[in-house]
Formats: sequence, C-alpha cells, structure tokens
Amino acid sequence: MKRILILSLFFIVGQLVFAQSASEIIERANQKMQGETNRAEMVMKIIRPDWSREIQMKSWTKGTEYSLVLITAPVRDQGSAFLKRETELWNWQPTINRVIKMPPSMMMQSWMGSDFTNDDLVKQSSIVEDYDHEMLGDTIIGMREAWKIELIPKPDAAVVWGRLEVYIDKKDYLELLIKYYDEDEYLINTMIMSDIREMGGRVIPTKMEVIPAENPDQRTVITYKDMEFDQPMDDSFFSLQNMKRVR
Amino acid sequence: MRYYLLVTCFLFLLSLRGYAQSEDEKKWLLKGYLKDMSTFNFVDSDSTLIDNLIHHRLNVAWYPNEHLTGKIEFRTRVFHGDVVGLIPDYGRFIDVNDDYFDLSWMSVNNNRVVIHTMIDRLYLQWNKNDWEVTAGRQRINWGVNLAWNPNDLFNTYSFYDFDYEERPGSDALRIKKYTGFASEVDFAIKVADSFEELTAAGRYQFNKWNYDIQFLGGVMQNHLALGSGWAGNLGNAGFKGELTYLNQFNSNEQGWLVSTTLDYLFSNSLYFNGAVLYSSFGQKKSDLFVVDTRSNLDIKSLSPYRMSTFVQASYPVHPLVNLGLSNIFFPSDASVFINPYVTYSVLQNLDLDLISQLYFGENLNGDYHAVSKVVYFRVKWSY
Repeated sequence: MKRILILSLFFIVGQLVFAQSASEIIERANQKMQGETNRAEMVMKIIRPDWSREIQMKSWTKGTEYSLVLITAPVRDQGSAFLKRETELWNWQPTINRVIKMPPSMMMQSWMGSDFTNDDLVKQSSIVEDYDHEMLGDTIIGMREAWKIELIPKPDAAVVWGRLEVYIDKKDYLELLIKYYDEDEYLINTMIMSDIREMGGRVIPTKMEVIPAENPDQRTVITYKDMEFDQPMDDSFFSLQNMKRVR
Repeated sequence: MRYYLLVTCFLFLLSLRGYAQSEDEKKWLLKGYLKDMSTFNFVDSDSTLIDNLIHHRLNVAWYPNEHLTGKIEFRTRVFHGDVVGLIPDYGRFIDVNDDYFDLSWMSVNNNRVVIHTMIDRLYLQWNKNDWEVTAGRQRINWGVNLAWNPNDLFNTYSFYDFDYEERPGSDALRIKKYTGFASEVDFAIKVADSFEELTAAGRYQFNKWNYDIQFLGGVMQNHLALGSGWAGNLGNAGFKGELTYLNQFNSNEQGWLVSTTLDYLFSNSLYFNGAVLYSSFGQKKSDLFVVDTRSNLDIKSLSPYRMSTFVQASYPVHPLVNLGLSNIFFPSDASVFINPYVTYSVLQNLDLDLISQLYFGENLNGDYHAVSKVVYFRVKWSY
C-alpha cells in the first residue's frame, strides 16, 4: 500500500515537473517571438482559389496589454490604425478624422477578411497566461526535432478555441506549427511557421501561414519584412494621440 | 483656364510623387481616387432621370519635419445629365459653401456640363509633446454615433450624403492638449464676421470605466451649446450616445437633441447598428424635404422629425461582397427611408457599389407612396 502511495506520489511529481517544463517551453518560445516589446513591418496576403488581396502594416506591441497596428496598404485603407489597451479597442479613420471605439464583439472577428482574427493581430489572449500546458511528447517537424505540447484554455479565459496543439523546435525554441481545435474537437485552423532566419537580432520564423481545415485550398500568409525587439516603449506610446501620428 | 492650371498642378504633383518615392519618401504623400457614378432617378412609371458624375480626389500630405504636417485635398466633380439640364444654374445649386473662404470654382457651368472643384482641406498642423495646433480648413469631428451626431457642432453631416465620406471642412483654428492615453482638452474656433455666425467651443474627453466620455460647451451660430457624449460597451455590444442642449441668444428658443446607438458584430460577421434620435426642434409631421443631402447642415436640422429611428444590418455574403440595408423610420407619420446597398471589391484598388435610396411617405393628399426612388451605380479606383 505504502509502495503504491509512493509510486503515485512519484507519478504526480513527475507530471508536475513535466507540466512545468511545458509551460516554460511555451513561455520561452513566446518570449522569443514577442520580446518584451516588438516593432514589425509585415505583409498579409489572403489567398483564395480565384482571388487574392494584400494588406501591408506596421505594428508595435508591448506584452499582451498594448498594441498598435497601422495599415500602410492598400491605398484605400492607408493611414487607418487600430489601438488596443487591455480590453479596449479603437480604430482611427483618417478620411473622416474620427476615432471609433469598437465593440468587444469585434475582437474575435476575422481581420479584414483573412483567416486571422482581430485577436490574433492585437494579441488579446496570451498562449502563456490564458492556457494550461501539457507535454504530449517528442516529434519531428520538417528537419527539426520538436516538442508537442497541448494547450487547454483556462476556464475564465476569453478564448475562442477549445484546444491548441503547439509544436516547438527543441534547439531554438521556435513555434513551428500550431493546430487550433474548437470545443467539439474539430480541427479549425493550422498555422505553419517557416523561412527561419535572422531578423532583429534573433533567429525566428519570418513566414506564418494559416490554413483553414475546411478549405485547404485557401490560406492567409503573413511575411515579416522587418522586426525589432525590446526597444523601450512607454505605455503612453499606446495612445489615441500616437495612433493618429504614427507613420 | 483654371482647370488646365489644376491639371498642370496635378501633373507636377505626380512628378513629385515619383521624386518623393525615390528621394525622400517620408516628406510627401500623395494619394487619391477616381469615381464614376451613374444616378437613376425614377420620377414616375414612364420617366427616369439619368445623370453621371465623375469625381476625382487628390490628397497631398507634406511632412517637412517631425513637428509639422501640411495637408491640401481637392475634389473635382464633373456633372452631366438630365438633372443638370432641369435645374436652372445647377452649378450654383451644388456649390454649397458655408466656409469663410471661397475655395471652390467652376471651370465649366452650363445646362449640359458642370465642372466643380473645391479645396476641402487646407491646413497646417503643429505637434509638440502633448500639444497639437491646427490652422486652416479642417474637419472637426466630435461625433460618436454612426447615423446622427448631435455633438458635431462644427461639421455636421447628413447620413444621406453617402458619396462624400470625407465631409466638408471648417475654416478654423484648433488647439488641443492630450492629457492621457484617451483623454484630451480641445478648443476650436471657426472664422466668422459676426457673433451670429460664430461657432467656438471647447471639449474635454476622458476615459473612465472603459468608456470614452466627453463634455462640450460653447457658442454655435447664435446659440449657447452644451453637450455630452460617450462610447463604451454593454456586454459585448457597443453602446454610444450624444446629447446637446441649445439655447438661442436673445430668444426663448431652446431645445435638446439626444441620440444613442447600440452595435454588435455576430460571430458570422453579421453586423447590426441601431440608433434613435430625439430632437425637440423636429416636428411630428414633416413638411420639409426629408432626404436632405446638403453637405453643410447644422445639428438642429439633423432630422425634421421629433423621433427618428435607424437600423443598419450588413453581412459579407462573400469576403469581397458586402450586402447591407439601412433603414430610417419616422414613427409619427410612418414615413420611411430605405437604403439597400451592395459593395464589391473587384480588384485590390477597384470597388463597385450599387446603392439605392427609397423614401416612402404621405403626399399632400394624404396618400402613402414612394416619394423618391433613386439607384446609384458607382465605380471607384484608388491610387
């Protein structure tokens, strides 16, 4: 009996150690891609079998709390910007010279018709804080050895997904693949990261592709053109004033 | 002659654009669009008035240094068609200009074609730390709602005037100080010859309980104006509102305008916006032409009725095709404005719109009928 107890204790402790390291891996990978702050220039291409559209933007991000996105192309939307502070979201429309406060229901919506949501872009939810992490095992993605980690949203987290499977490169702690499942266990989206190279002083994947499971012939591709990490950014940078001024 | 001058000017600016892109990309920014809109006005069963409007807009921004911004924006419109011939001196009819300086001109004005050019933005803006000073023709947009903006003391707009999203500007001086991430103190004064024509007001905006809240006060064309507005949320829905109190100087006339909005985006991208407007300046039964598309209104004429309700629903039937229906209903006499529309993004920079504006109400004999039926077809190329 005692032996069983000790054994199960070992088992529980083992689980704990395992779980902790899964969280640490996720945190480290997230830190690598996000930094304390980051500034990025990117191109988003929405690809469908019979049409495609391209949106270019610049973004400034500090943690999951603060984010600012400026649209630089297409010319019709150029200059319009999105500001997120904690749970509030604003949109600047330079043509009509007005700041529009957006309802929270807009956060989970598709970003400009793409396979990304507003939430993906302004990083409302955090894969570190809003999920419980569990190590599922080792695997190989492309030529790289990787961990397979399961993420289950915490009960009170404002997350649309039921479960995520995240594959992290063992050598450089890079997110390589994320599978998004809904609450009924259906695969909804697959995100593939590639073009791993040095940008902003870090080795990171510079291309992210989201493929919806229901329509495998369509995808949304984000390509980073430039990135900069951990430049000091004051909280006051993320203001209505600056949303109108950034270029 | 003036038009040729403008074309030359435009070509010069275009060449600058080439220069700007290669040499000094940050200093100059040029963009604009070209629209062509056909209007079909179904007057009665056997008569349709057809007009065409070519519309060009050029926006030039100049950034000489990090503290200074200059902007000049032109719109040139070429009107041609049945209504141009029917209305005597059509050029004067469309040359609405309530601004102090006359920055519009007509290079052609006859009963077949009218070419009208207008500068609706011309200002310099100076920024330093938390201060922002803007002088010149600018748009001062204090509104919060989509349909009706009682807080818009300077550049009131009409929802019916869908083909002018930029809206006219005011010849004004505006001084603003940002006091926090979503708070600011703002003062604006419009150029005027007399106190009766003067609009000058201050506004304080702050962020509290996840709401943007503003208070404003000043004079608006011989009225004392006091108002407040808010933008926040109830649950996951957006909740916005504006109210303004007006009291005419040397007169007993006074009144209120109140408008609130709820909007919500469903997970399938169906978007709803619902609003009501109460105006104590309105009447129970309107004898005015309801669909007022004049660009320069004042807030007292936001609606000719006491009560007005607005509902808009839009839904992307395809990622490139958006279907929408706006509806303004006046409960006191059951007249209704119905505005269905389809927008289609044909190419990255080319959009097609099919828009209809229908107005049903009682005529002088008390018969309920379609007072106005207009269909617009618009092509827009942005560059």
